[in-house]
Amino acid sequence: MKPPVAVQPKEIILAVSIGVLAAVVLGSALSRLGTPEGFSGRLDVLSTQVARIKKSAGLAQRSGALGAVCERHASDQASLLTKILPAMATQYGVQLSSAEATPEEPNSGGAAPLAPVHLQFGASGSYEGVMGLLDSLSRSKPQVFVDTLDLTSKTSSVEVKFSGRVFCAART
Amino acid sequence: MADAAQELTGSPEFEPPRPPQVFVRAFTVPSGLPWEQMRAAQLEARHGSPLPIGEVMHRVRRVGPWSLGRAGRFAAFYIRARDYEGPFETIVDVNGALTPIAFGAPVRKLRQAGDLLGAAGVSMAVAGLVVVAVSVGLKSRSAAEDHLTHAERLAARQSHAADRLQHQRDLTMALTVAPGASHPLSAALSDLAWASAAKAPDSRIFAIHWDRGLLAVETRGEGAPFVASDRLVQRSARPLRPGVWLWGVTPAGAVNSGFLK
Repeated sequence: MKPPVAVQPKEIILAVSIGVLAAVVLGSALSRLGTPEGFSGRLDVLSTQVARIKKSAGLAQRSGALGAVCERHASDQASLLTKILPAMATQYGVQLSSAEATPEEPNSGGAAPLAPVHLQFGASGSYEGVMGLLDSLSRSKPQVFVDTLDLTSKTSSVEVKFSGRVFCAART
Repeated sequence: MADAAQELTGSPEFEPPRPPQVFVRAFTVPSGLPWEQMRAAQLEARHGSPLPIGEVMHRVRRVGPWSLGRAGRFAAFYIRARDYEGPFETIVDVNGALTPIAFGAPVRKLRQAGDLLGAAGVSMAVAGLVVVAVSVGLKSRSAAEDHLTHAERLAARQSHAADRLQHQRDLTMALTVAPGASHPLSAALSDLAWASAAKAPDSRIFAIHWDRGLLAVETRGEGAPFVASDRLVQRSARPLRPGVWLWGVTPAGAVNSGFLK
């Protein structure tokens, strides 16, 4: 029979201390091992980005009229307007007599300078057709602004003359 | 004293086992090479056994240094096989010299081997735990890295979209100033809708002019073109052409806001 070994309290305390120390060191090492490189800094950047995204989304929801300004170049928008206007007129049974879109000088003031595109057209057709064309233009993006609008009744149709503008983001 | 003795042995039941009695026989073998002498000593020990060789356990030890050309001195140690209970060590007097002898594996070595085995087992268990923990840590790191990278990509995309939204918002804000006197087309259409709804049944409107927020109509005859009271209508002092009059219409809400005062 093997004689039992007498263990001193000091030895127990020492063994427990070494065990606790080893556990703390191992835990710390594992914690570092399980954490990706630059974790804290990357989380900070993410938090900043998320806060900015939330703020921007909230402002965008409140501002509503997104898309009111075209983001393409003013000359491209002018070309696009002269292409889509005949198609819209055809859709409402209205005959275009003239259509012209001309880029103008951008305004220089403000944080977001805009480049206007002057739009002029003349057309004739039924009252419903002309009003449908104008209503479609009023709901299109970018937003259409009007300077003058003349409607003249003819024998069997209505003649319209439109002068207005749309605005594009000015390219710097 | 009894307590002290008990403490030293650790337990009242503890009693060290008594080793079997060892019989010793010293002899010499002729000169020769060491391994030849050892083989001869083994034979001599077996042949000179005090009991039949099947009933004893024996060990052979050289008890004198080997030297060339001299007989070798050996001792054979015997115990009864039935007395053997386990490995033990003891010291035996051989011709006045105290000689240690062990039967079976040395107890100390067995204990050491047992301790070593235990320590190896514990070490392997600890090493296994550490390997598992490191493996889990690495897996956790990989998963966290994947999630973080995914979140960063998503945030980068959303951030780009937020930049575009902010840009659009800036543009929309600029649009409140840039048009100057121009109005949204919807404002002109609203005026046209009002004119259509407020038109007097007998009026003959044949032209409508809308100019930067101001509405005017041309009519034949002097009768008022509209019957509604929410806007004021004012005729020109003189006809544009014979029988054709121009009527100006105040903007919506101008009646109550004192536009004409």
